[in-house]
Amino acid sequence: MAEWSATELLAECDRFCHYLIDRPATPEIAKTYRAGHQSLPPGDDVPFDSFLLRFALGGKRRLRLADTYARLVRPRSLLRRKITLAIAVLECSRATHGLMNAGPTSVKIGAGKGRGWLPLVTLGPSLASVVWWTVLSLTVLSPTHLFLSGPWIRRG
Amino acid sequence: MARILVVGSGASGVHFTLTALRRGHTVTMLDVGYPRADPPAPEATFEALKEELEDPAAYFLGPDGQGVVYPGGTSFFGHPPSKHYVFKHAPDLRVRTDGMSPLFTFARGGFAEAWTGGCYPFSADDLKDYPLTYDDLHPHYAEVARRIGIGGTRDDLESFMPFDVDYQGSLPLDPHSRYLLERYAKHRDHLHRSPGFWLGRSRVATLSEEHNGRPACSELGRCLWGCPTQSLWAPSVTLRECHEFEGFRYVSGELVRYFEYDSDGIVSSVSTVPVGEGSGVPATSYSADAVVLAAGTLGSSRIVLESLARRTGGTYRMPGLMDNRQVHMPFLTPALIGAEPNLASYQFHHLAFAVRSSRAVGDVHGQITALKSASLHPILTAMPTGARSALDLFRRVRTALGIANINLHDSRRVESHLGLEYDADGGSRLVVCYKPDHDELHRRRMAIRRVRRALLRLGAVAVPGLTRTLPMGASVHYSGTMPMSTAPAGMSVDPSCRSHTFPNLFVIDGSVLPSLPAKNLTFTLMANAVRVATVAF
Repeated sequence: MAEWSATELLAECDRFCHYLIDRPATPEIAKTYRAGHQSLPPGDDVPFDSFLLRFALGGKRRLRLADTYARLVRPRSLLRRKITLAIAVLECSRATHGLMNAGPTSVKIGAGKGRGWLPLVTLGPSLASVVWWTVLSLTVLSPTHLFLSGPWIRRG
Repeated sequence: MARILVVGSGASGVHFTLTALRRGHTVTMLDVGYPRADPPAPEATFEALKEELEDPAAYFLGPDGQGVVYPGGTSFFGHPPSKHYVFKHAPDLRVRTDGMSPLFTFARGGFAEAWTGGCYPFSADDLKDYPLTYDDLHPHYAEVARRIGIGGTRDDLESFMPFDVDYQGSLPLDPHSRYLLERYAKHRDHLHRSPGFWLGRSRVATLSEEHNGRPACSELGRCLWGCPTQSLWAPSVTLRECHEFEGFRYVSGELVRYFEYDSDGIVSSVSTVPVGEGSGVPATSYSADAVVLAAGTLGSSRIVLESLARRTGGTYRMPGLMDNRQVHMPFLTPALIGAEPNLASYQFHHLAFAVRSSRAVGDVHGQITALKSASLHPILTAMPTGARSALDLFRRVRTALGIANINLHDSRRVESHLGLEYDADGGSRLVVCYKPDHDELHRRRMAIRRVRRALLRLGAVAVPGLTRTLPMGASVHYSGTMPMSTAPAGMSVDPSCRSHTFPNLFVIDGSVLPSLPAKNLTFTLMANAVRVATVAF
């Protein structure tokens, strides 16, 4: 907790809210997010993880890149732990739980209508987006990750 | 009439006690007994609770976020703060583990305060290693069903789980489970032939109609956080009934350390220490005509080990520790993609399955839970993409998601055991060692393959890369350290669960099971506890 100032936590909470639900953090969300840092588990953080967090807080697209990369390559990194906390807070908050639990916004295919595997097609745009962000994040962040993992980086 | 000391208030302890009280005996129950807090707004649905509570995050995540499930865990859900009392450790208990990550409970009501209610009687095949028959247990299964109320439907699972007690009707199916069951009906013969898959309705201790003053499930969607109406039976329901008897005394806040016995093995007293007050506090002694251990396999075995060690100075081991290996297999049912979710719905499993093995004891059992209300963050962070993409994708597939929980059977082996060791300060430490069966990996792979094939036939696909084998200890079906046997062998008990070594000591929890089928054992433990109270007292 002492590692992060209240201002820093508020700023990153706000970033995460914009990233996840396109809304700013309310005071209630920011307070819960900050309190949650008392139980944030320690991780095997490496220099790249600090870079990833700083990089992610630079903007919404950078955050999406960093998060996608971290999920695949550093799933327990500080960034992923903080995003997990942010999701948990948003799904419990009075102001945002409805957004988190919202149903599908596009095509609705009712249960048991016998359409078999066809509805998988409707996931096409979402899956294409996943592939796009995955390829982009690997392309952009792998070189830095490799560089910061090199023997020339002092740890500790 | 006997004066009986019962140690522990879990599922077996309360049913033994209620039977003994009804038969006119007096019972003192010794328990640590961490209590459950009253659930807030008992009429509110899962979503309404987030609107009604002053600080919903404190309830759902804990005041400092202790209930958040961070990446790296093996489960897709954690224990919510409202259930932390169930898994809270007694501070005076030391444990060393090897090959197993056991959970401990000191809650009033034990582990079944946090169960999902599955009630599956052991079949005659399941009982073939037992010095009992199904007929010995049947009347007691029936008695437990009358007491707690169990919903069930006569279906294809009957050949794995006898259906011959009074069940209530099953709960209304959620759309996802209904879809899978309809597909099963269509492909039933094929599924039976290969991969040997049977599907049916779960038998659950959740009321579909009012029963003994408890209301039917009102589908609030709060099951995981603790049923606020007690439509889902928990031991605290039966414990309340015990309090109606004059001959019942409940002593909480006490951890039983050991019992004293004479040269004939007669247990003369049980010693307890107040929980959390350190080792310097003098022990309190309780005496009775008979002592009944119902503290769970780890708890009861520790008491026996410590009693033996204090008396003889030797160290002892109890071989045969068992638990069901569990595998969680998330799946997606494409036909349900895009359907609107209904969060106010019964949250736990509606369906159960069995996979037939060439050997009866090798049958695999499991349960299928369609996703309804749940904590989203463990699911979103498990999806193989960033959180924003995961959330977009999740909204489309939510109603199509489910999880198959696969259980494997276990058998007693010398390598898996409980023991006791002593620290430099003289304090004792429970040692829990577990080594899987040599063919467990093969059985697990076979089970995963066959369930995956069955799901495909049901129109669902196991999500690649997300099937997780839970660490040993996760199923909390610990058993086997003091097995029932007709002849004395180690720390065994006779068929009435009376210790072969200590004539007035009875053990009625999972410790006494000689083998562990791939089923939830709680229904059998409750029935056996009623049986022991009936035949031995």
